[in-house]
Amino acid sequence: MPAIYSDAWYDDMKALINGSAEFKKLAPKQRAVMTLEVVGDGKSPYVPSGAELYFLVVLDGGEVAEYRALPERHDGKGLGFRFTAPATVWENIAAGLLDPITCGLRGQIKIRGDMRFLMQNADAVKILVDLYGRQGRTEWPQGKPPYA
Amino acid sequence: MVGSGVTERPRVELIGADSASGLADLLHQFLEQTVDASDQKAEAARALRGAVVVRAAEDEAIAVRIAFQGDRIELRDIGTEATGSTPSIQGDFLSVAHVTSGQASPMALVLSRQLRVSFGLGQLPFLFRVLGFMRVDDGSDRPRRVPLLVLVLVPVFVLVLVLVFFLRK
Repeated sequence: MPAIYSDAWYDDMKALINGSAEFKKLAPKQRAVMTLEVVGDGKSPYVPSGAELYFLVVLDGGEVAEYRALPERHDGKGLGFRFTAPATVWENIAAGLLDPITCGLRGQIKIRGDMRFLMQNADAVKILVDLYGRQGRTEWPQGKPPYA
Repeated sequence: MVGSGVTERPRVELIGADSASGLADLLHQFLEQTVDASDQKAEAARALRGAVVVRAAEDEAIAVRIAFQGDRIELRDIGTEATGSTPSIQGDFLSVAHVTSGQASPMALVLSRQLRVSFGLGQLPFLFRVLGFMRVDDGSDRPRRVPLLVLVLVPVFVLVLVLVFFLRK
C-alpha cells in the first residue's frame, strides 16, 4: 500500500487507471496533458502551508502514459488542463470523502483548460476521478482525512 | 458582422468572477471557447436574445443564469434564487456534457428524467437554439446540412415535449 504522494503511489495510480477496461474504452485517443496542483492549506500534514505539489498526468492512445510528480509548476506549454485545489480537498477526494465532480462544480477545484474537450470526454473524466476517489489503496502515514 | 466579413465575437462576461461557483467558471470558459470556435458559432451567439438558467443536479444551490444579449453573454451565479419565468435546465455533469457534446439527445434525457427542463411554450425555440449553439461540433466552419431524418423527427419531438408539458400539469 503506497503512501500518498510517494513515487510508488504515483506508479500505483497509473497502474490502477490503466487496468480499467472501462477507462480504456472511453479514454480519448489523442494526447492530453494535465497537471494537478496541490496547495498546502495549513490542515494537511502532507503539504506544508504555502507549499505546493504538482503532478503531471499524460493520456495518450487511450491510456495513462505518465503519472508522476513534477519538480515545479508546469509552465503551461502544451498543457491541456490545470486542476488546482487545496491539499485537504485532494486528500479528502483520495480518501473517498468528497465527490470530485461536486468539488469542481462548487469551485473547490479550479479548472482551467479546453472545456469543449472536457465535455466531449466527460465519461472518461468521470471514470478517472472515480478511480482516484474510490481506490482505497492509499496509505496515510501521518493520518487520514478528515483532519481535525 | 463587420465590414471585413469576419463575425465579431460576443464578449462573454462572468459577473462576480472572484467568488464564482465552479459551474459558472466552467460555463464561462466553455462559452468563450464556443464563441471563438468558428464564425458560425459567433453568429449563432449574436442572434440569441434571452436567458436560461443551468442548475447542477449534484448540488441544487449551484445555479447559473446565462443572458444572451447579442454582443454580450453575461453569466451570473444565482444560487437558490427563484428563476421566475426564465427557462431552466437541471442535470448532472455527465448529462449536460452528453448534450453539449452531441452524445445524447436533450429530448431523450428529458424523457428519461436525467435532464429536467422548465420553460414556457414560447421559449421552446430559444431553448433549442441555445442548445444548438452550445453543442460542440467538429470545429468545421462549413455550413452543415440538416439530415432529412432530423427534419422529420424534430416536429415529432416537439409534439412529445408539448404533450409531456401538458400532462405534467
